[in-house]
Amino acid sequence: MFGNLGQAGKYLGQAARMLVGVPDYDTYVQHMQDNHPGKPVMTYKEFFRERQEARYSGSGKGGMRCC
Amino acid sequence: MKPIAVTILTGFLGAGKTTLLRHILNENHGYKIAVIENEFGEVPIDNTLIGDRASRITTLSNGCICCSRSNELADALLDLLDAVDQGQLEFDRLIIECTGMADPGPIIQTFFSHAIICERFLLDGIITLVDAVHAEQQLNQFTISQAQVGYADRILLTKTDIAPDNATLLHRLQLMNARAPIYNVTHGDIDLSLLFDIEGFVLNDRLNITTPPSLFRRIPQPQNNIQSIVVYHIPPLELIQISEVMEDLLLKFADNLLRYKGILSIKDEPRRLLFQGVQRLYNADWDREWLPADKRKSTMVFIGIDLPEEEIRGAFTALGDTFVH
Repeated sequence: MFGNLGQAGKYLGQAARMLVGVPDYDTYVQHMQDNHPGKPVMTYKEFFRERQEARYSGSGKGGMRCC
Repeated sequence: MKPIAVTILTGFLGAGKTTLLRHILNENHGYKIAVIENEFGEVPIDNTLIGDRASRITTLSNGCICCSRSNELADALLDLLDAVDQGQLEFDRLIIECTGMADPGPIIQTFFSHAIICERFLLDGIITLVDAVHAEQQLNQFTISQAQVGYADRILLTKTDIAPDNATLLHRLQLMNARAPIYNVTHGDIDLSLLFDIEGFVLNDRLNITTPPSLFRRIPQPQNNIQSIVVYHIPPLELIQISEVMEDLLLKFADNLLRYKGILSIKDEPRRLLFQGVQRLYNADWDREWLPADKRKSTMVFIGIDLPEEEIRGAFTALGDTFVH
């Protein structure tokens, strides 16, 4: 956990995004180029929405839904 | 460019969020404030109650912002930035008023998971309002109302003019969240310096632990799913060992953790080590050196849902002299 001391930002938002379960967009684009060339690649906005939806909406598992 | 400070107001239905918001907007504080409010229902009414002092009031009505399928919150935040960039709107603070049934978790994470939102906004703090009249019943019935308390950087106890005897409730709130100071507020009237610039998500060396006041009579402990565990460890810790302990706890229990924070004393290291996190997102860095006047010890507080207290206690006990409360 304390492996990158001194490199972390002071604000949580500047720390690694992977940790909140939203994979890095660049990694996704690279994955699409490597494994699915020729298939449409989501824009950052589409990717972010898709990931957020996959994580928080739908089944209501994990206590994330409130209504 | 200075990021826009964001305050999230949460609290169960009827806790007084709109009253507080109206008070904040009408105070002569000099801030230009934008508001995002989430009206649960077809006809938004709260923005008529709030008045017209905000730079802009954006009402989200397509379900709660914490679980909306259309990701309304992120879109609303980006729209606000667009308006600022185009010179149509000017504000320096943003307040988000959640619905009474909202889970603050996903709302908080929106500020850490989108590159632009992350850069242009700075989440300053979570203010949770608790209705002194109805809180016990709500906390017994709804885990969500407990979660709202668990995430808080500040807890505001409202309606204390109607329910002035709230020692039992205070005790319970402090068992749930040992980090957040609790303030009484009636009719939304509170000093804004207690609510703004609290840097709840910035790595800093402020770690106030509130210990529950002693009660005059023994009362049965309420069943809280949300609780705080505070761990003190006296001898300096081996960095690699405490790192492994924390990593292991996060791997196993990140879904249970709402907030956690620690100021650690590390062996052969004159500086203090600070860390803090919300769910899976954490940050750690070296702080200033320990001063002769400091009582050198490690202090950690975990706030979470059904925390495995024995396992956490055991992990730290294995590192040496530890006590937990």
